Amino acid sequence: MKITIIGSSAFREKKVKLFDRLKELGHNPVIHPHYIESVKEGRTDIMDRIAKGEHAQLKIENNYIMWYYNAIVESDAVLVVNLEKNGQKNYIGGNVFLEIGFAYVNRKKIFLFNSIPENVPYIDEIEAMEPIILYRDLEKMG
Amino acid sequence: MDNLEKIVICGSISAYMEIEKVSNDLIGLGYEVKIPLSVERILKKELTIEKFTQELEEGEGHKRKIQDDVIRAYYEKIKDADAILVCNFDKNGVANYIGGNTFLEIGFAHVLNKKIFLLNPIPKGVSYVDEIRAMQPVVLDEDLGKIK
Repeated sequence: MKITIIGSSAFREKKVKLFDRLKELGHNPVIHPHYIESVKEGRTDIMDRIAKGEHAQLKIENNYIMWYYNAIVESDAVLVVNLEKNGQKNYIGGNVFLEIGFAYVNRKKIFLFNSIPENVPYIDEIEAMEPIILYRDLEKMG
Repeated sequence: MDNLEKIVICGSISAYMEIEKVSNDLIGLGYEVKIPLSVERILKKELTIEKFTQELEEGEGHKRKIQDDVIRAYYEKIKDADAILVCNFDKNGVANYIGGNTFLEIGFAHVLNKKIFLLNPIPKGVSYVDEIRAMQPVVLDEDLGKIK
């Protein structure tokens, strides 16, 4: 299965680990190359700019939203890596929520690594897109 | 009006009366307009705002979205349009409110290369301000004449 890995950039290390794990399981995972560069090759400029509050500018410069849309359209599924962030369990940020939407309207499978978060303003929409919750078990992807 | 002819209106269902007014104004200006399904139903008296609000408050909001396949249906409507107009009025004390569903529709318009118009400025009280900014909407400041 071709699977695009999505999730907050704060979870980049876990996302790259899951990328490697999905490969071992015989899948064809897709991750933005900036994560590989950041985690495996020591690239620091992108995370430095996010920390400086330049996230919106970075999204425009790198056309991240469109990159993910195209990756999702070409995939069979998305894997949403939703871990704890700033005390919020199973965090799904705005950008990742959009990507779940892109998967849904293109009839791709939506896998959530953990349960649906409770304190985000788009719970109804996430529930309506009927994701499959893996409870951290990649074998459940089938 | 150039080549911009079809506009899809996005916004919170609670603003159904304002949406109807904006829709009528746009039709008067010669545009072809689509409005959210639930707004259409409320205006046709097939649904009441009280029932719709009650469903949301009882945590049943997702059921109507699934039953009517509204998310995919609106994606298809946006695909067929030239632009979206986000009717972002004040809601529950948040100025220029944009809810999750409308935010998603802005995302659809962005990836489908449609123009994104906001009736009012980008809200400050939502967690996805960065994403809205990154999609570079055009703020109309309630002046429909600025659509082009």
